[in-house]
Amino acid sequence: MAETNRKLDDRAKRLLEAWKAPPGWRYWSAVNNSEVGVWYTLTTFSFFLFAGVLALLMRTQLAVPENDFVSPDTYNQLFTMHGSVMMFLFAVPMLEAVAILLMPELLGARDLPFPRLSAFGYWCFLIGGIFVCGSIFFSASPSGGWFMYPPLTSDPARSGIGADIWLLGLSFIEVASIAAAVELIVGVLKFRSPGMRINLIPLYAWYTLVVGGMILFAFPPLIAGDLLLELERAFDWPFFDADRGGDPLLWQHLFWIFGHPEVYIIFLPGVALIAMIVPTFAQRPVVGYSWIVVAAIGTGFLSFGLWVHHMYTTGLPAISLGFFSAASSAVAIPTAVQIFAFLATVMFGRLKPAVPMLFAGGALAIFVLGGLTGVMVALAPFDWQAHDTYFVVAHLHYVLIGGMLFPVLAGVYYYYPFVTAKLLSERLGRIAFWLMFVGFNVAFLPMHFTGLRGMPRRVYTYQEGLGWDWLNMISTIGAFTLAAGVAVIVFDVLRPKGRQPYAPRNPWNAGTLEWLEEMPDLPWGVRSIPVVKHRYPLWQDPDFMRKVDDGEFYLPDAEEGRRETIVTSVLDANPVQCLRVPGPSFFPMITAIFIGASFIAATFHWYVTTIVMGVIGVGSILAWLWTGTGGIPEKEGKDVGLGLSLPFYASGPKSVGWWAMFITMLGDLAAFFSLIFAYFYYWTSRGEFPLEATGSAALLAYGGGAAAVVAAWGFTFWARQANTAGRVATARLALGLGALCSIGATAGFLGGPWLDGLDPTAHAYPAIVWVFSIWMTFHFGAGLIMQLYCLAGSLAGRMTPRYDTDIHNVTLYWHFVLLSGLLAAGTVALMPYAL
Amino acid sequence: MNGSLNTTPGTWRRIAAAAMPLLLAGCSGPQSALDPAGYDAERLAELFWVMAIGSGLIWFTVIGLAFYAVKRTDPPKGAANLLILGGGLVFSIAVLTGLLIYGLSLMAILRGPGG
Repeated sequence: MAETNRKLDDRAKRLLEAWKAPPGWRYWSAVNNSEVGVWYTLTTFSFFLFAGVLALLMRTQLAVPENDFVSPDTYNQLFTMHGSVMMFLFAVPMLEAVAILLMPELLGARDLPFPRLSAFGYWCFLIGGIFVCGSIFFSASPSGGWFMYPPLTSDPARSGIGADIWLLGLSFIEVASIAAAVELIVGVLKFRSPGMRINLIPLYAWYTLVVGGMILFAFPPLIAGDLLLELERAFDWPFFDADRGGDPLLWQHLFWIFGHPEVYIIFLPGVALIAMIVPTFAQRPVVGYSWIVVAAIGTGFLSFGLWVHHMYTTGLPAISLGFFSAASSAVAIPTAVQIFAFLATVMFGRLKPAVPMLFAGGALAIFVLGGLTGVMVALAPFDWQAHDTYFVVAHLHYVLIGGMLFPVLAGVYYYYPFVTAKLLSERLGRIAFWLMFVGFNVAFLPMHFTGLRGMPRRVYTYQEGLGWDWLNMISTIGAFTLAAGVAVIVFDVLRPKGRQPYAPRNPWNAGTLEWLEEMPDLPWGVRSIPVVKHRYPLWQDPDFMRKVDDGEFYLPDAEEGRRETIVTSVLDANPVQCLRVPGPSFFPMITAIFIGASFIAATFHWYVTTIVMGVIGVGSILAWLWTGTGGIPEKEGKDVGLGLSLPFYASGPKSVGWWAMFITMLGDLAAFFSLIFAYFYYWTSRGEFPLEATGSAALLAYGGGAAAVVAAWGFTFWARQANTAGRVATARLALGLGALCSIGATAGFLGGPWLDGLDPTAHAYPAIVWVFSIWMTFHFGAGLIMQLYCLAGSLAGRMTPRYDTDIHNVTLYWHFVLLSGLLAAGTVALMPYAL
Repeated sequence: MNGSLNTTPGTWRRIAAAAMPLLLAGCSGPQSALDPAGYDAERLAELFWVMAIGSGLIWFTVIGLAFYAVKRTDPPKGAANLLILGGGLVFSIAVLTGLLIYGLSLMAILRGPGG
């Protein structure tokens, strides 16, 4: 891959040496976005093919009435896995994979802010995905539908180990998704080319920012729900058991508060690809850039206010139905704005025909139809007829395949030369497109009708004579045609291209920075980090590519042999730091293996193994952090080019690590607030809640716990101030005292429910109180480890008054724990008196 | 009404009358929402047909616009605003508002006390 037949000067040779992929078996320790992005994309696509085969099995079963191709239980596993794998192992990870692959080059950076974090996310994804998909070969897959409603799924006898695999396997992967979201948000905000102000960034970056924020707030409610459901299954804590004060509808709320934004998390990146492709083939800048940005942000916000439209038939009051009908219809407005902006771009340009545009056109036709049926089901009265019928199946496939799959395939044809320096075949692409477009419509258009004629979802067979026979047969034929089209694409992607010449540089004559890439590409990402003043720099300055190639911008060299890129300010992209990003390491893989083993052991109720693996995994994380982050540089900074000198080290809000902590804790707080939501939801939906007033001993324990939280936070904060002021001994003392207070806080929070004699298996009230205690215990434990880590760092000379990024990040963590700790104590201790 | 097609006035009505049984046969079925057997189901079937025809018109218009956009190479300056603001904002808000009024008033009727 690094073969080159052009002359490289010494600077280029050093740069190449710093960035090249590790050779031999060490290749798997790579962390650069180019390697991780390719692995991620291929793995995601493999899961897509797996889930597609499951769908073909389903369609075979449904082709004729009263078929016995598969048993009912197998069929349940098939549709559950098809949905779950497509949604959790394909749709969301694909967007992350593509973003990891493209984002740095799109923004003119050399890598993502936390390369080992994205590698870790990938390994978690691979392990979790194989675990979840592998279950079907043991007939142990989840079988309760991809949304896993209790009470079917809260009863282990009825739903088998599959439900645990879903809950734990997917939670593991969701944590990796949140890690990717943190990385992408920080990347878009802080890792841009100098001069690339926020209103000049590519639309793909805007969409990624919006989607990253959505992931941050949408995934945590699901993780909270997963926690509650797994606690019910494993330990009989009755969160969803109506006989014991629980409520199955709580799951529906938590799931759909995640589930609705989820579909926009899937759709917006698809539109983002279209936003990059259409201007290129229209050979002009996009029309309505600001409108598109506002519409994307609007879609993101609105999508959090629609979730109840999945629950129209659960007996909610009319005013809720009316509100959510209005909101659900309203989300079509920003969507329409984006579509019309792309149409305007085409109108004002001259369209070059090409396979990516063919897929984009197909995407438009399919997605618009899906959006229109979406407006139909958004209206509660119509949904009363369509809910849980094939009409909904038709709708969701139109929007997902039109809004995500076709745009991704357009992206595959467009960005293939970016990844491999070769072009895919125009002829095969056209054949694949028509097979897929026709096959898809033949399969799914009749389903609208099938559903309205009364066929429910998820039935494994149906009787003759209900009027569904021919419709199902046609759908099955369409499905296989669609699959044939996919097979053509797989062939086109995988066929050997050894004798095919390399694509010309910037083969589509696009205007954005990722196309600076050489063909074949070199591992440095970009030869020198450019100064950007325009949305389409390659179009605006015909000499731009040469200047980058000649190293006339920033960081054309790697004098110390390190991987370096530039950190910029958020709005104006002023260069502020020369950041040394980590190189290859096996820590991400090793950590993923241990954390994964911990989750997998929990699925089988091997709790000792769970704890042991978890402890080793945490140890691995600490070793990783100790050896790879916050290191003291050998000098203050360096000359990065163009007469600018930048520091290597930053701490506090200037450092990317601080931003990562901040954003991660926002997600953590979202999960915490989901638990608060659950507590107050029980109060609204169940009569006798809370059950009993908090006893005085328990009140003392909670009070003591809350005081200890304040003290732990206070000591940590004091330690930071003291350290910065040079009073190192005081700082170490404060950290030690803070650590003791963390232990005290844990004792207080665990003591409270224990002193009250709360039995979590008796009723949902004691169960939810205990959940708060356990949640806070984990957070205090993590906080304790962090305090001790800083103390150790100070004693070892790693953390000094000047080089203090660790204590800044830990203090930030404690700000969040202070907030959630006080809220938790207040809720469980005082609410029984107030409510 | 259909000046471009040289048909006698009653022809469309006759075509519709001939098509109805076919349409109904296609929609009929013991569980079919399009073969209503009561007042509520009739109102909802009506709602469906209104939305289906409206959606069809909108879909064909958008696809037609897309083909037109490909062909047209030097549109007037106001075309962008017309598309994005006129199409994206004004038209969609108008249609959705009308639809919501229809749908939600129907919900009030259907959820009201029997009789």
